[in-house]
Amino acid sequence: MPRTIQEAAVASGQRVENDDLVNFGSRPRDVINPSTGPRSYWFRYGDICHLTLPQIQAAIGGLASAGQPGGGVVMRVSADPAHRFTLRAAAGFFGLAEYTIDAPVMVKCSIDVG
Amino acid sequence: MNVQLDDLVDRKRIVAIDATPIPAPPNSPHPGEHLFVNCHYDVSQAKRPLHELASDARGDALQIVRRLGANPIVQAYVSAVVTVYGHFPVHGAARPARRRIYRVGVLAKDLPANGTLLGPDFFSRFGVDESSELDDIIAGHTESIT
Repeated sequence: MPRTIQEAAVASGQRVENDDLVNFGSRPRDVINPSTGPRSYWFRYGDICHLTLPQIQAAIGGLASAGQPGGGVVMRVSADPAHRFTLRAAAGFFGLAEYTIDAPVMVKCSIDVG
Repeated sequence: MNVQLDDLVDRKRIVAIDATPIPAPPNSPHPGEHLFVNCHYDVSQAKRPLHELASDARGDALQIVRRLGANPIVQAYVSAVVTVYGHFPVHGAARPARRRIYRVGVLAKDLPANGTLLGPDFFSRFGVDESSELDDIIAGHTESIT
């Protein structure tokens, strides 16, 4: 069984709070300033920390199938407060809320969750 | 996880379908494991009119829901979340951006039993959740999984 995101975060020694917003990508970054467009997608750490990486990839869209082998193996933790983001209320029966933002986001730490 | 959907992959419109059980977030109104089924369209589909893509995606989702209803394994989950993804070239970008063309969530108890043929009104007859990001595609937004 792959480790959970929370287990990976603890192993990294980095402190991540439940209300921190996190984003997944292929490499560590200091700033999320998308090369392909203005929008980035974020999730509340407390909502996803119990999941494994394959589950995260499935919940947010099968990154490997999107032509990005190894995508989503690094979790970037936002240094910016949640109120800067647009909350897209949890849709459907699953109940995972998304946060989006159309501006660069400062990252306080990146954690290898692969 | 094998939910017997591989035959829907035609390598023309649909290039991959995967299914993954995922436990709900702690504050979900429907705790337990939900089955996420992700269907990926080939990037060539992005050239087609968006209303056609949306129509095909809804039809493919309906077909997947029907197949899930015929699979007793799926009844073990709280709901099925079926998402059809497209990959859209973006001006100036090095790679296509992935977007949800269509997503629907159906509680397992509402899945059609025994693979019953479904009409286009199925989703409106039940309390399903439907969403799309086509508006964002039109607006030119892209995704930042980089």
